[in-house]
Amino acid sequence: MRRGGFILAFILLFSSCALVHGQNFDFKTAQDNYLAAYNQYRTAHEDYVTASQAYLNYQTLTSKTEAFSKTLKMLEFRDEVIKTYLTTIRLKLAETTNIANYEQNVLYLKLDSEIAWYAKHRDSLASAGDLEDLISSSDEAQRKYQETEIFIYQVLGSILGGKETSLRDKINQNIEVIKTKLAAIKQTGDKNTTTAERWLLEAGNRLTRSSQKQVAAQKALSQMRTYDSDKAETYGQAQATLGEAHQYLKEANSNLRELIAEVKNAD
Amino acid sequence: MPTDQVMEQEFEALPPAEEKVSFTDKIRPKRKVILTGAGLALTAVIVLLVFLFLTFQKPPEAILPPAAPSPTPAPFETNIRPASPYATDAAILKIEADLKNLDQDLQNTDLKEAGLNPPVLDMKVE
Repeated sequence: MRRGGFILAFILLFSSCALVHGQNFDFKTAQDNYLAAYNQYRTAHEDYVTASQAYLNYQTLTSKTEAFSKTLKMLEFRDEVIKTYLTTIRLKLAETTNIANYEQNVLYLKLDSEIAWYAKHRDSLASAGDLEDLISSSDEAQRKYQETEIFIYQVLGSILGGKETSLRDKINQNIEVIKTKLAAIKQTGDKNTTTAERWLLEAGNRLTRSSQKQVAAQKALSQMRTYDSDKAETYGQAQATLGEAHQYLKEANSNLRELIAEVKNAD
Repeated sequence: MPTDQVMEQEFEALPPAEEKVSFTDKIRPKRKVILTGAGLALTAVIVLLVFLFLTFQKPPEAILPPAAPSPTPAPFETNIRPASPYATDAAILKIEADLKNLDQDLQNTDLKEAGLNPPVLDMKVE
């Protein structure tokens, strides 16, 4: 009886520790893990290049064994880098508000599936018998990464888009509050609201244009294909379009500030 | 009189041709060396002067169009126009503060997120 209680207490303690650990695992921690994995990968990659060059030069059994072990290590770290990177952007996605729930859920599911694939692939590498097996496994990962890359850029686009949506929502809220206030002022008749209403209209137009630009950026990312040679360039263009959307938001807010200055002045 | 004799006689009658002596031949070799040296030195001095002149010469000033009269900035309107009854309205002041904060957010938003860019990996293993 006493032993059973002891075991139960131990299980509870263990589970609470795991919970605390889980709570502490935030974006920053994930990013640190990713950067550490990336550094290990770079070192392993250098060793792999040296070992494979030595094997190509000498063609000895020793150099072949060395090349095999270095290639295996490098491939394991490469999978680990992708896995930790995907975990990092997953947590960034969780931190970003104003991404539509359905969109966020779809992205989570896809991210989890990708993370699982690379974890499984990394574990399968150890069963490779020779260099040819490793090269075959690497080719498999290469084909997979072409799809993963598209998905990564779409997640990044959603994160940036979420930021824009959040800011646009705030401006929209301010527009609604100002609209109500202007209606009240108009009713009292102690201030001409014509100019202020015009500014309000301008701000609304800027918001619409910002929204259109954001849609255009998302569309460009969704049209990315696995055979696209430069996906980073497409992402760069989408970022530039989001920059234009952001500029419209700045202008809209500036219009509203002008409006308030106008309301504070007598006719 | 044989023809050969006549020819010989005529030839001998001609005054001896004067040897052509150029100006340089008239100058003594030592003086020639001195003159050549002086000429070279003079050329070097001229080249140096031209070089210095070009180096330190001020670049020609670009011809600028006459400056257009710049409009004097009008003093900010709020300083001129009297305040409306809403200048101290609590709701208006709150909106103003919210818009100011939002402006800061808009300025500080990072739309690059360079730290999130995908890693550079060598995917081709041979």
